[in-house]
Amino acid sequence: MDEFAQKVRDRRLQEKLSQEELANKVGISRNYLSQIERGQATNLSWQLVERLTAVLGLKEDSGGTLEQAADIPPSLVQFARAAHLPPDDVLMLARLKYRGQQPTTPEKWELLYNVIKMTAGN
Amino acid sequence: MGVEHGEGDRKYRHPGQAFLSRYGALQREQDVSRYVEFLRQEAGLGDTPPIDLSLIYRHFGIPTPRRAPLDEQQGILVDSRTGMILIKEDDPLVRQRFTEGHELMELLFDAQEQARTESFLPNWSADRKERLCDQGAADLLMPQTSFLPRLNELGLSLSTGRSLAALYQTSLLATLVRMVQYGTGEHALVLWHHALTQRESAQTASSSIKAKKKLRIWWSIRTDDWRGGFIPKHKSIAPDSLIAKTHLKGHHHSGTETIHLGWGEVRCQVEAIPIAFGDQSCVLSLLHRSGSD
Repeated sequence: MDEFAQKVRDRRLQEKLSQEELANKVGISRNYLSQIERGQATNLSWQLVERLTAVLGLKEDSGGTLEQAADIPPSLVQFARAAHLPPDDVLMLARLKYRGQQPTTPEKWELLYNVIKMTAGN
Repeated sequence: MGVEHGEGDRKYRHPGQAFLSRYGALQREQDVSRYVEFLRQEAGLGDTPPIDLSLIYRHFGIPTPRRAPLDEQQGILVDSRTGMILIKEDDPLVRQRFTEGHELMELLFDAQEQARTESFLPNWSADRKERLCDQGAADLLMPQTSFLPRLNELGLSLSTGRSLAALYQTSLLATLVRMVQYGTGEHALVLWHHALTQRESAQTASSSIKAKKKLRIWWSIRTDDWRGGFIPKHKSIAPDSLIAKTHLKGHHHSGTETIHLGWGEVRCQVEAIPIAFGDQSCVLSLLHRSGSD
């Protein structure tokens, strides 16, 4: 079982939620949640990881969990660590949808990040 | 992050989510084209060119896409919760318009991704999704109902491509692709670039002997009526052909010639123009099989 699966299961039990209740809260089937908790459902969408971490209060202590649970490119992880990016900004970068190429190096992520901050912040 | 709203300053409504909430999650590729119709109808867009995308932005309260100094991306959907889109500022305007159309399609797949928490809904590969977004952008900017009658009236040629591209404010390449998709008669659009074969690339990498690049087929599309046979990717063109001359001289050439395709040959009327992709100089050729209209 992977770390994220374990955290979801542990926190759900701490919160005294049944699988059915948690699944309803995040809008998935109980069967699918069961697969997630057993580490059998991989490559979860960002949106689902976010809903699960929000509902279970895992956001603050998620640390590297999101990076492991969902599909963050290694070059983005490198940039995010080096620049100490806030988690929301890492999520924003990971969620971008492109026409063209996704950055392939930490330096290219940094360039793109600065362009977005500069343009979107105006 | 600040966002600039269109005229009327309507509250933002995610168009992909609006579509899925009305019609349900996408089950098959045909559903994607319904989204284009949905955007058009909701925004009160007609099919008269050029298509005014600002009506869509205004209707859904989407902020006017911002121009940004992007490098390797033509456009980015930054945040689907606000509809913020960035467009590469130094792309030609026609390409920027196509990218805008593409990003509007991305909003559909964003909504689908949010709905796709269950595995039975389709999850297209990134490449397939990109092609569907491009197809949707073409459908949006060049509506079949007005595009096809004009194409039928003018006939499929480079000159028609230029006219329609000017009319619809789309790139010549996107317009020609659309023309070949809809066109009748035996026509093929072939893009050539200077390249090595995969084997040559591998050999060059592992030895000091450098293979020489040749003008080769990058990709091609054909009309449904094309009977000239398979057009193989990577096939090179003879150095004395009109297509090679176009590359060498850097200007338009046309005429009738026989093109060798490896498995056989095809006799065509050829129209060829030089075209640049980034720093690559390529040749775009329109082949009309002899005897076809």
